[in-house]
Amino acid sequence: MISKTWLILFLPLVSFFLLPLIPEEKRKLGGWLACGSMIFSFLLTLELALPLFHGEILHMYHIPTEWIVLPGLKLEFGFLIDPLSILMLLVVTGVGSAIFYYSLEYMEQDEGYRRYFAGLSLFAFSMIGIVLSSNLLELFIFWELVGLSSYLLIGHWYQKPAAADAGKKAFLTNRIGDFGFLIGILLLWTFSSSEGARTLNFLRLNAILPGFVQASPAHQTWLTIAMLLIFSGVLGKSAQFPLHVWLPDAMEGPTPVSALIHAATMVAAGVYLLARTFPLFSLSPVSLGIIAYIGGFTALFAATQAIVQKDIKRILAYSTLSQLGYMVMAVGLGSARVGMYHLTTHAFFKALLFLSAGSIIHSTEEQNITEMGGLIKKMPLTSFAFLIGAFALIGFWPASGFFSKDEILSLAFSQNRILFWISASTVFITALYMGRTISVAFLGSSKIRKKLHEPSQKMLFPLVALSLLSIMGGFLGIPKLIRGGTLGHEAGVANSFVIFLTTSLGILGVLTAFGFYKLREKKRKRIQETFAWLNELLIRKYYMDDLYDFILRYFQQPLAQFLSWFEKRIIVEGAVNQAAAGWTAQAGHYLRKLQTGRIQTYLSVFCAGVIIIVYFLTTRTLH
Amino acid sequence: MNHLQILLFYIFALTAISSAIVVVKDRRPTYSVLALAVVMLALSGLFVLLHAYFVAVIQVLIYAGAILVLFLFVIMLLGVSGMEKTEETSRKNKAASMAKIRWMVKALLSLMLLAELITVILTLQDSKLPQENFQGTVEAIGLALFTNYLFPFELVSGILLVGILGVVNLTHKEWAERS
Amino acid sequence: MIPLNHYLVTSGILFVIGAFGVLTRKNIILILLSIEIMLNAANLSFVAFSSVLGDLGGQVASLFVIAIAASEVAIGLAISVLVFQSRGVLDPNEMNLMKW
Repeated sequence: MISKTWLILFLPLVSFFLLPLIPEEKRKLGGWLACGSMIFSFLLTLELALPLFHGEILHMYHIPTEWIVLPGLKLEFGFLIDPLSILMLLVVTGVGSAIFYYSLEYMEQDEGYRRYFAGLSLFAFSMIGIVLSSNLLELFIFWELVGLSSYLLIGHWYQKPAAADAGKKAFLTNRIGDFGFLIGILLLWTFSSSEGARTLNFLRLNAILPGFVQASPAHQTWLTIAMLLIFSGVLGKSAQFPLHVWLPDAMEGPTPVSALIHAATMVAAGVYLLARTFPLFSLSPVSLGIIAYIGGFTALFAATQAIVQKDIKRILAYSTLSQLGYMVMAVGLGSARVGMYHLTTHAFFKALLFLSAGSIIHSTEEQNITEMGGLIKKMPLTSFAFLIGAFALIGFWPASGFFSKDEILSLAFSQNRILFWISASTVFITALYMGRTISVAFLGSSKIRKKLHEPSQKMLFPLVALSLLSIMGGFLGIPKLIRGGTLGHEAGVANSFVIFLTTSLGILGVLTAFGFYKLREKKRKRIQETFAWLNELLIRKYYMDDLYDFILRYFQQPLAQFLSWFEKRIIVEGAVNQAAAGWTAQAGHYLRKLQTGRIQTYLSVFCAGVIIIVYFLTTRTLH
Repeated sequence: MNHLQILLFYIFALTAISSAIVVVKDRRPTYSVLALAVVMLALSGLFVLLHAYFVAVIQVLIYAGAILVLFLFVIMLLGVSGMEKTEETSRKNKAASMAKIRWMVKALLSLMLLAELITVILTLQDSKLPQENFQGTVEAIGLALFTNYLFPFELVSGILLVGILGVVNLTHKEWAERS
Repeated sequence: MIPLNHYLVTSGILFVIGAFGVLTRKNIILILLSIEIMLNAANLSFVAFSSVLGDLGGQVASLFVIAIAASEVAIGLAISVLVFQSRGVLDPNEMNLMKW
């Protein structure tokens, strides 16, 4: 059992290392290698999860390997396998395998085919690493690796300046969050001393920190600070406000990448982290409150921006931001369990949406929805898949999204009315932008001249699989998998009022969108003009990008330049050259003069020395 | 007896000290050597007062008689010119003031050393007196030398041998060239 | 009877005079001479203690000192002569090859 876990983690890494060795002629082999290792990891994960499916609550295996052992510092490398990690692992390897398989065809003609699969394998390794980590430092290492893979994959078509920039933006924004994350880790490290040893192990932290908090109210404040810092890592990785700016730009990467990393798994890593450290967050209600509000706010904030996007992938990106907000909010409201539930269903339908979009892009070579239209007639299979995804996203019964979303809203209803109404508004807007997308891209008359084809088997199969999961997902009993343990409120039966409200809002939103686009041109134009100011605001992302640009240009750059100057002039030239080197040379110049070469000089010094020694010898011994 | 001994002591001691000062201060090398001879004779007298008869005689015979003579030989060998030149050129030194300061420092050091020594001596030693029955006669020394101190005695012979060989090696023209 | 202190003080004074000569003289051979003064002072000290403590070791030591002094003077003078022959001067300040 244990050794299989090593395989699950390291198979993708092996594939990453082997891929560069595959020659250009045999490139397909590389793809199969990567795909194969991922599928194999998935199968092993299934085997690992077997006891869980049978209803047993899995014991938490914990296999630490001592990595660095110093006095006062002991870092381990180990796996923590419990229901939470198994669930996440299933999502990562399962959806991951589907997307790997899809990529075999999608990226067939691409120049960087092998590089793509290498990057994807590296990502898989890092993501699995995050899931299996047994302590915060190990998780942080994999966290950074995931950030790196994301950078590489976003910038896959690096010759395109937009793609290169997007990669940088993603990495840098993440870095900011990670900085706070690291400080948070260090704080927890200092708080975690017990019996003279300190730890970053999750299980031990869960045990030690309650005692720490109870020791004094000041400790409570400190813990809150630490947990908020850890949350800043989540802000970066899961793209919550204000570090959300990188996700829409990340759509420059290949669509399967967007599906895997920026919808299903990497961005969900933040939510996973929250779930993993939930016992610690529970110790600080203040931090949970802040988390909830940021999540809820992001959900609405992002959804509004989705309405005005023209690029189909960007619509889906903002949608992801919004749904992530839901997950984060759920954790903040006290149930990491519900958050994870939504994470799982979201992985299914968002990946489905992205892959269908990919299929559309692959065949139309177009990403702008206003240039599409009538896809439902030209690409019925793909459209159907997309529709299923949209259905799940909006949250209609019986799709999986219905169950998880309504759990979240019920939670909000019982915990925090303000957030409930914000979330409800978000439901409406979600329906609105999905309705719009469907209206513009799939209905109506087609603007595309060329002959469109449906995707072939390799791309179709994942679509089918994910469609099934999106529909059936609610009936799989996912919450039951992760029952028990320390994940907050159980997923109960949703509130009927909530169900009624969300469904109505969903229908209302879709109908509004359809209705709008059914209006005549003139009427539409008039309404558009009335709301032009709103349109501008939303398209400009509430001027967030401008704000960041301003900050960078007028604060960060001058500061960086000043520090660079400081380092160059004062430290290097001054301290090192001038002081250290210069003074040493000077001292040498003068000290050299002591070596006169004359015996009598040396003898005089000798004599002086004798006087001093005799003095000390005699004054010390005379009584 | 007492008064005579004290008188003799002071005569010998003061002679030794003043001659030593001459050795150190006089510009003429030959005069320095001769003054040193006087010092040794005075010390020899002090040795007699301390009943160290053998040492006293050896001091005169070997120290004053052989070693100082060797000094004189070398001084004569190097010639008056060799001697005087060195003394005079140092007077013509450009940095005369520096030399003066250096001299002052050395004088100061010497005085400090003297002060220290005297303080130590006077503080540590209670006034012990030399024993009467104790005589450093030839027999006594000879006995000690060939029984208790035999090993050092043999070693010193070795040192003397080394000295001879060293000098010959250094100065003998053919030997020096060969090595 | 003359107390030990008197002898030791005399010895000390002689020693310091010798040291002063070593530090001050501008002629190698005269420096060697001053060293002889110092050795003599030590001898006086040895003999004085030997007489007071009743141990002949002091006098034996002073004999050894004389012997070693002889050896040392011989070699020292030999070297001085050689130096004079190669340099032409006996000023210790000129012999500063060890200068930096």
